[in-house]
Amino acid sequence: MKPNIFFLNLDSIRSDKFTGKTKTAITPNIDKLIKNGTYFSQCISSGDGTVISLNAVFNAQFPFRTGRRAETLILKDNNYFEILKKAGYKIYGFVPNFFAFKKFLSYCKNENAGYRYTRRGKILDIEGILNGLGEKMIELLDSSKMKRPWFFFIHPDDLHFPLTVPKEFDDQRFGDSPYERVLSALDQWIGNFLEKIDTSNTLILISGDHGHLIPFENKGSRDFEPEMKTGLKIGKKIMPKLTHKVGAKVIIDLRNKIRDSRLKKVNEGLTPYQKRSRLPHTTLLVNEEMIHVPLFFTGINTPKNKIIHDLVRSVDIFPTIFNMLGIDDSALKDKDGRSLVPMLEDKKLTELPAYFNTNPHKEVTLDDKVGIRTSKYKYFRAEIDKGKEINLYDLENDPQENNNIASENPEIVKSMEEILEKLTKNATIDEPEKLTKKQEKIVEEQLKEMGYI
Amino acid sequence: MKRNVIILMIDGGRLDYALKSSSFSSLKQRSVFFSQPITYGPHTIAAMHAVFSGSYGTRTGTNSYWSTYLFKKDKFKIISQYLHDQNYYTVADVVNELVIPKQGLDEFHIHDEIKDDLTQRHKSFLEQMKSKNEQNQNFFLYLQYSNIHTGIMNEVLKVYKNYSKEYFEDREKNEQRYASLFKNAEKYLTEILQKINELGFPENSIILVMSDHGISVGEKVGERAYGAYCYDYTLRTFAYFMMQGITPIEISQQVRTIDFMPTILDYVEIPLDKKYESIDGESLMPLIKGEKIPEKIAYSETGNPLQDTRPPKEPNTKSVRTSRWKLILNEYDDTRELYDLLNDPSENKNLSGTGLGIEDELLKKLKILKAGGDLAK
Repeated sequence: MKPNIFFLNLDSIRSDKFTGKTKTAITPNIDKLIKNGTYFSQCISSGDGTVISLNAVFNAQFPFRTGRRAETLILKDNNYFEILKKAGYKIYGFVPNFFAFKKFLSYCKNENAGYRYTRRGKILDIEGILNGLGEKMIELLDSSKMKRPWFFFIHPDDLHFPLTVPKEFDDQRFGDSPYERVLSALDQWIGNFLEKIDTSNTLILISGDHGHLIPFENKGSRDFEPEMKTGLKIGKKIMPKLTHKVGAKVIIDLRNKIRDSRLKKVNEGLTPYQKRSRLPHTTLLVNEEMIHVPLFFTGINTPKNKIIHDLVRSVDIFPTIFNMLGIDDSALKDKDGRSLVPMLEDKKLTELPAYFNTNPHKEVTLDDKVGIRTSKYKYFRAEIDKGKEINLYDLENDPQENNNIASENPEIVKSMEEILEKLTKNATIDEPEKLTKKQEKIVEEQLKEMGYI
Repeated sequence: MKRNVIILMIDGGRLDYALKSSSFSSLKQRSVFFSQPITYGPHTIAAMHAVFSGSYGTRTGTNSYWSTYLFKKDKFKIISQYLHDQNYYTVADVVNELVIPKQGLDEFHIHDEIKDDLTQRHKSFLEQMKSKNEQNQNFFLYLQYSNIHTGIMNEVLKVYKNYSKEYFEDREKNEQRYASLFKNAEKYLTEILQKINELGFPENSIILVMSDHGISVGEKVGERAYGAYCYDYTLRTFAYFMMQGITPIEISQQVRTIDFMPTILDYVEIPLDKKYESIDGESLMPLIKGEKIPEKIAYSETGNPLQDTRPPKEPNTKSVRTSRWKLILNEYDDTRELYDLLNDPSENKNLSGTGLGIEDELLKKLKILKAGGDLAK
């Protein structure tokens, strides 16, 4: 009987909060799991956003192959899921019911594989493990609906901003921050899931797409914004409608100025890591708190109580799973990932660099970063200009990336840039096409001409 | 020499009007008539990119009014490229820059739908093609008859809004307007086919007379022309294939307009290029020869602008169809519609949520197809 695969990929999970000294969440189930499996303590995701990171996992390819600016999951005609299907696996899953996931959803055999992910006004209404999805997962695991052998992939959003802490966990006992309290709550569910899984015939994985900012002293940038509601209300009343847009902009600019000035004051004396933690959650960042994720295996073919500190990458996950299960993935070309099975067998593998990119926003700016990480250094810079926004950190001595040592170490910067360039040279970039502004204008004019606008 | 390929595309041609028309009836006597082809997109841009590529816009990138430039030309080889590679001289005359992909075309012409006399213009193209044959060169000629669109644009799109009461309350006027526009299309077709006969093309060419989509005459409030919904009055089209050595026949089985490209290539014996992505369509030659092939699910999608004055950039209304059933998924308000087309061809009685097992079955297929998946896998 082929083993089943249970892959829990937690959105926004940070490695340093999953296990280790800096974790304050209460996670008896995760702790027990780690004792019963193999934990990779230095796994690097390929980006600080979900799609860019999942594309790397699902294709075992870095974003320069799957599309640095891809906004949806990219699965080519032949892909890991096709191979799984050919090997007799039935694919099940729970991912956001969001256009970006439609490729994966087409593989899922279960009903409602796309969980509720809607925006009501300014509020995101998301079905997470803690508010409905957990029960659905249990129901699926409990029933005979999943045909064996199955591959069950779950990507829950509970740890994603904005966080909702269940009342019973909203206490210092369950962690220093709302983030860690949510993780404590999730841990209970992880225990529930494990009770339903036959671990003797299932490979269990837990990992994540990217990290999360946990504001220093639980006070993020928003907490320093002044309330401008009254001003906005009065402005709306007394000013003509035509001026509302401009007026709102003025008020928002003013609000941000006040916020920044307050932040400047309260941030005095804080480390760069602590200051970063207070940035808005949408900030593009490739620091450790955003791309260092947990990677954990247990169940069939997995050594117990093993922690591997060597650098690995999330692109290695699928090649490792397939190797562990003896499924041939050699038909998939241009893979950047490799199997980590030798590491499980106590063999040393030559370290390979981890490549990463920031999540694509609409406009390309200097905030878009690209870089590489070794076990010793992290190097990144502006994607569009290799001479700008250069960052270099000595991770061994500065794991929180507080000191940018780029200017004092031009030789190291040069050698890291060489590694980056070598890696991306001859890359078959498959960017999803988007209309340029010029094209959009042409189309608009033509559609007007034909009477469609 | 191989056979020439001529496509006469009657933009916005409705099947029911073709069935009532003497010119189309006469054409039916001489051709293989498909009375149930389903278009991928109920508007020209998405519809014709799908026809040219033999594939759905879910995979080619052209899935909306806005996405001509997003067509994945490196991945999908279109009919004009196949023919051009075989030394065909390839020419298209269309209404607008955006309506078809241009790869492989030796000549790409845009006509002025208001000023140009399309009958004379297209006759002239046919004559030019004759000279290509005389120089021992095959040709591919794609001619778009756009004057139904012209009339709809001037008399409907520019006059009424998506939900204009005065439009939907005067069905008779809408039908008269359309009948008059279709009459002109019949005259065009008669003259063009006559020219084709005079030039002797029926003996050495495959000639396809088709429509890209139908047009509303006010059946459903919210769609004053096309491209808003996935109902049969815009999805179900017509196709007449004239080809040597084939007995005229009517094929009433559901087919898809994405099947036309592989059918033509099959007839002119050009194999599909494996260096490109596989296509969604399949050759209809077995049906044309009187053999049986299983009916395939037809997938369609479009972008309902709702109250907006411009079509959306991504489709939000999707459907799957068999000759018996249709399931529509309106993603903009998360509703479904299920119709029994056999007993309710006008799609008036929504059976969604009534417990029919076919709904779930079709929904699963729709989910696969809308994600660009393959039902055969």
